[in-house]
Amino acid sequence: MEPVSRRTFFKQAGVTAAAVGAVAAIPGGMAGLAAPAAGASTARLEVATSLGGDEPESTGAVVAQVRDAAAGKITVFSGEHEVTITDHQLAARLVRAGLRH
Amino acid sequence: MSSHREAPEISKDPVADSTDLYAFVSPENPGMVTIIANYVPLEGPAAGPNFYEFGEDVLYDINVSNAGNAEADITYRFRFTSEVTVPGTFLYNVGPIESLDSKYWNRKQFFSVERVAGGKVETLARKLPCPPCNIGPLSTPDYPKLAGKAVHALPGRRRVFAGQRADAFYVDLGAIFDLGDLRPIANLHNTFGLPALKATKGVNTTRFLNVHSIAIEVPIADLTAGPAPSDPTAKNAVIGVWTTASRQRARVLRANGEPSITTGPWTQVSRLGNPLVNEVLVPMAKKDYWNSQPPSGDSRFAGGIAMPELAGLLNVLYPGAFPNLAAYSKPRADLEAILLTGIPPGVVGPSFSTFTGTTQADMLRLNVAIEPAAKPNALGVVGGDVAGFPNGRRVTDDVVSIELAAVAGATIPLVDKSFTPDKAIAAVSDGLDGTGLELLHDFPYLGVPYSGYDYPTAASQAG
Repeated sequence: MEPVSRRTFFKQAGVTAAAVGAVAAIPGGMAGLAAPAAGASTARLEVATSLGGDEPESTGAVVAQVRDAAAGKITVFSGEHEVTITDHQLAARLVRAGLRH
Repeated sequence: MSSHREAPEISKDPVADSTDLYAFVSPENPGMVTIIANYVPLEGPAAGPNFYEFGEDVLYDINVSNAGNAEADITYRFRFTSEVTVPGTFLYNVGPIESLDSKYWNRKQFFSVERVAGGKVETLARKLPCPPCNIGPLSTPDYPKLAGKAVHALPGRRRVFAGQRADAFYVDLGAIFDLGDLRPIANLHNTFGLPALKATKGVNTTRFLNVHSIAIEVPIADLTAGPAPSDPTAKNAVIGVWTTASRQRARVLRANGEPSITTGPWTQVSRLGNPLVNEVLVPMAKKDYWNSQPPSGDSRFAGGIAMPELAGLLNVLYPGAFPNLAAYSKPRADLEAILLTGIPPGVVGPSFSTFTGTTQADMLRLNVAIEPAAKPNALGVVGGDVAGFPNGRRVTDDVVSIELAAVAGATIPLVDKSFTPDKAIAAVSDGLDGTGLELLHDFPYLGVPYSGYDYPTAASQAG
């Protein structure tokens, strides 16, 4: 499966999202996320909704959970870490994708 | 299994379900401590085509606190992987398994060992083989010899083993969880209008069952803050031990049957310090929460230990048998000491201590400066043997009888001389004493697992 960037996220076959609390599994990397703070397995980050260029690809599974769609909170699990970001547009897109049954 | 299926969620996750924890100064190897953490409860010997194994997606830790704050100062970490060498067959083995690298053994399991201390991770071993499960005379013809090869030497005089063993815990599960029925005194039970019961012998529910054990033997100085102490009242003489199992937070099942995707931080789903705590001293609604928390925060559960429900039930279940206990309304400082802080010097004796400090934490506390008993008493400290539970826990310690007696009031005089234990305490027991256990005299101490070919026996199924 081709690596996934944020721009191609919703074109990726098999990626689904649902309402608040849903989980999206992405076989490749998820672009647009800042790295977690050093030494922390959980971090809260504010991320701009616009992207600037290609992002490094993850070598393992990345799973995203929309924890609070209204607040735009998304937790991303990767490796042995998790990071929570705030991205209202992405959260809304994930929720809408999850409603496409 | 003093802590098996003790919480709703972990009862559905056997490979992460801790069942017993033992910690004791090695009787056959002075200067060493053996710690045994068991998982996978109630293994019937017979299985197939897939046999019991550790979870490849589970992180198993043996934690040791030695700084008096109930935080893990040292962790021995175990991870497991499996390999299928003959993928075209449905069988676990295609011939007799006579070596740990047998070409006939289809599904082998391996493990790595790390020691985490001071923020540093030291890999002690990678890809050590586990033994196979004990199947029968054709598949595992000389199992004791085969499993013996799975005891591995590690740097620093350490030894390690991970694999199937015979379960050494003995308990009459069927009666105890039938509204607290103790068969030897069943005739005294309040049957709530149902037909009266007769007193009978206890039945060991876990007899002829197996378990999966992670066992390590390490020098005492590996575990203590500073050099190994010789004085039992030394500040560093008592360590606190607990075992945990963790899973990664996110899991996605694959539609094609391949192993799940797991990712994210490791999250604790099981823990065990003292036997029977989460089983009988934590309410049902909090058991899974208890499993998720570190012991250093156990003051939040202290209420269930200070005022144990089981103590209140004893006089209801056995009317009139425990009048002194029924009249005792003070918080159980004895149980809090035994299970949450350890017993300070001077309570049991001037040179006995399992005290680790004022932080309330369910840890199995071991005084490494108390030598092994020449003739162990299964009742441990309650029976006058200070080398036994609750000073660590040996494989033969009758923790069910000890804790039943303690909850029933036997240990109240340690903290309250005005209390007289009820005479009925002498009869409080499930009627078992470990008779028939076939243990090893050396590491890993738990006996050869029962083979599926031999157990259950034909005689046990005779009509």
